[in-house]
Amino acid sequence: MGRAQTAGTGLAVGMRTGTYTDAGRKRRSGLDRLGAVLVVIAAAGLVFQPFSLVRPNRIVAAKPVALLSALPPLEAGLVLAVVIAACAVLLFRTGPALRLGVSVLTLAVLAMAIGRAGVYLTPTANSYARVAPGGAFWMMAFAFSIVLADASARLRLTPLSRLGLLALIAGAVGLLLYSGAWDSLSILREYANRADVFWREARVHLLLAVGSLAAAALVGIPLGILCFRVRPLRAALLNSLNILQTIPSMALFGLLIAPLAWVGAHVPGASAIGIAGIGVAPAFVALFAYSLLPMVSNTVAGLESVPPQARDAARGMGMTARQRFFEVDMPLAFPVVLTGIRIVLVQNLGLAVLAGLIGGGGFGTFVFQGISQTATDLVLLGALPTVALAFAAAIVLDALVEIANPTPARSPEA
Amino acid sequence: MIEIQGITKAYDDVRAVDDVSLTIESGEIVTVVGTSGSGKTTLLRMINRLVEPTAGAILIDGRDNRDLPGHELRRAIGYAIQGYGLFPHRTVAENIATVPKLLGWERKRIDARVDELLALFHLEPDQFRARMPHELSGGQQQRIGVARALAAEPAVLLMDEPFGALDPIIRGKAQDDLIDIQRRFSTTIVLVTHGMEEAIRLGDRIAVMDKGKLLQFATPAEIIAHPATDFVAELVGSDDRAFRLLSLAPVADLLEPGDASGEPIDAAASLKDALAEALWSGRAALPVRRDGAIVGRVTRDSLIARAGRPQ
Repeated sequence: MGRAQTAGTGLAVGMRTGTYTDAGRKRRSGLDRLGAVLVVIAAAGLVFQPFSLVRPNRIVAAKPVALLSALPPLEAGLVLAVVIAACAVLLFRTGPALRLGVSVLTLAVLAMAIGRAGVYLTPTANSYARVAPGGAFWMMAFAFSIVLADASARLRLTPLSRLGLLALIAGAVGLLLYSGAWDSLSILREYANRADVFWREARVHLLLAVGSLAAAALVGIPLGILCFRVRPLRAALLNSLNILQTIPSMALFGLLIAPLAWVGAHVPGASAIGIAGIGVAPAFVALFAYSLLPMVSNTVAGLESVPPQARDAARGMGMTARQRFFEVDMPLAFPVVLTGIRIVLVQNLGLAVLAGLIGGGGFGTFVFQGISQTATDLVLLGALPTVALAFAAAIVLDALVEIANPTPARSPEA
Repeated sequence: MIEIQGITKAYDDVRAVDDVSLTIESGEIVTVVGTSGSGKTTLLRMINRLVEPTAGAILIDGRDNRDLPGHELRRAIGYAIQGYGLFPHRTVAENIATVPKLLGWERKRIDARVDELLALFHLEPDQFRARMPHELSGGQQQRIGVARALAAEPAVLLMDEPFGALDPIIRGKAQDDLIDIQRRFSTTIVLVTHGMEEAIRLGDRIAVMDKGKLLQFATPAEIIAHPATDFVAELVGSDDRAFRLLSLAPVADLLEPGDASGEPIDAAASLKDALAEALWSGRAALPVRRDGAIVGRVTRDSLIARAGRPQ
């Protein structure tokens, strides 16, 4: 209730400011350029691409089904009407709050429709047939997601309301999954066949991405502090890490196989904790290596961003070296260090997919299995959660960086 | 009292401060003036040991400043700098409370002191306590910087170009505030500046430095009238030294009995203001007012005579 009310006020305020600025700049009746491009994409999808793909079983060629035949006539008409009305709103200059509302509503309708299409198109009692979202669905989902992102950026939502919006969307997706509305879709069919494995690989994926980040933070932040203090060390270390960063990720996985296999075979106890040429260990080490440069360089940059006068004043007022470090240097460097953590986390969530190639597990397992079996749905079962996690991590950490920053770059007057 | 005894700071072969000796009395404002690279800031920073001297000693109230660990010494000495160095992640109140907190004052005493200082610097405590530094104007930040330096009631206040970043009108106001506060607490102030104007306006005595050496240490009147070297004379400037001399004394100094017509001038105004008014209004004498009553007059001739080089 409380949330709904706040959202309502926000909407009203947003609409007013939106109208005001638009009116100030140009007449309201103009075309919205981004909106026009996105409407063309959505319309092209709707006209030239199938809304759903139906396969008699999971690996044979798909039969395209257009929107109007993918749903019962009444529902199909309703969905079409909503999409056309939404496009009409987006085509013209309208307030960001209105665009946000329209895009959220349309995405919700599309999400429900694709679930309904799954039920409608699956022949009764046929467990081999697969119904997947088609090009029209993806292109429309893409177009309206961009509108959603653009509108929320233009609304200049506070970090907390951005987190709220994310929670709302995550909750809605969770609800759709939980309610079984999408159960007839091919991706969830693949999931149903390997639910246990899915959650195990999800844990491995998170462990790889977050664990290597934690290790990189534990090593990289002190290393960054050392680099900041010892100037000669800085260039040498940052340059070596830079070279490490340029090694292509696949090559790095390959390069690590020989030394780690040797360590696993020769160092007592190493193989007992899972160190071997293939598997989790090389994936973890590679992700750790890639994470190190952003962590070290952002720590150095954060410390460099501390105003020298604040440092001088701290010393001049009688703070000890320890007090200066913990009460002035670290708090002021923290937002930049947090930016480093954001870069690393988003990068690692994506890179961890490659661990699947060397037996390291994670969502990559599904992606590469799917590729080798030419089962697109299985690829998506690995890819979609990865993308969703990376998106969510970026939004959450961006909000945290903004909250942590005592001097916002956007001043209220500007 | 601060006794600086033969202090020297050498970086490799360069002597930033070269054998400087001077004694600053308690409750006095001493301005240290010089061009950049003259060693004035290094001299100041050796008083609270932000810079350790190569040779010589500094005694504060008779005690060598090396008797205490550096950070404890610095907690007892106020420190305000150009750019103010406010902590951007802390509120105004937290900034001001820095040294009292380091000294372990009680919460209540700290809060009371913060409010007292905010009021002293004409900043409404309820309105400013919780603000962040980036929400303040330059002049407000400068005042918070000085309030923070004074928070633990230090006997000595060191200031390094504290007004350097202010525009002229706000700077004049800030200088007046500093003089008021110094009179109230009789804090000993050592203030570094590159402007002779500011040095004359604020200093009870002025130390002129060049290339690490102390060239002259004397009252403003003495420095204007008898500059020790050509460099000092150049710093004072020859164009308006007569007016600078007049600006140092109040009208009360030349008060004489008698009548005059027109708008009266305050006895506390400077002789420079009185002469300017006499010339502008074309009057040979101005009535002088003190506490609302006319107490005599000041004549243009006596003002002009006073503007000549003292013998």
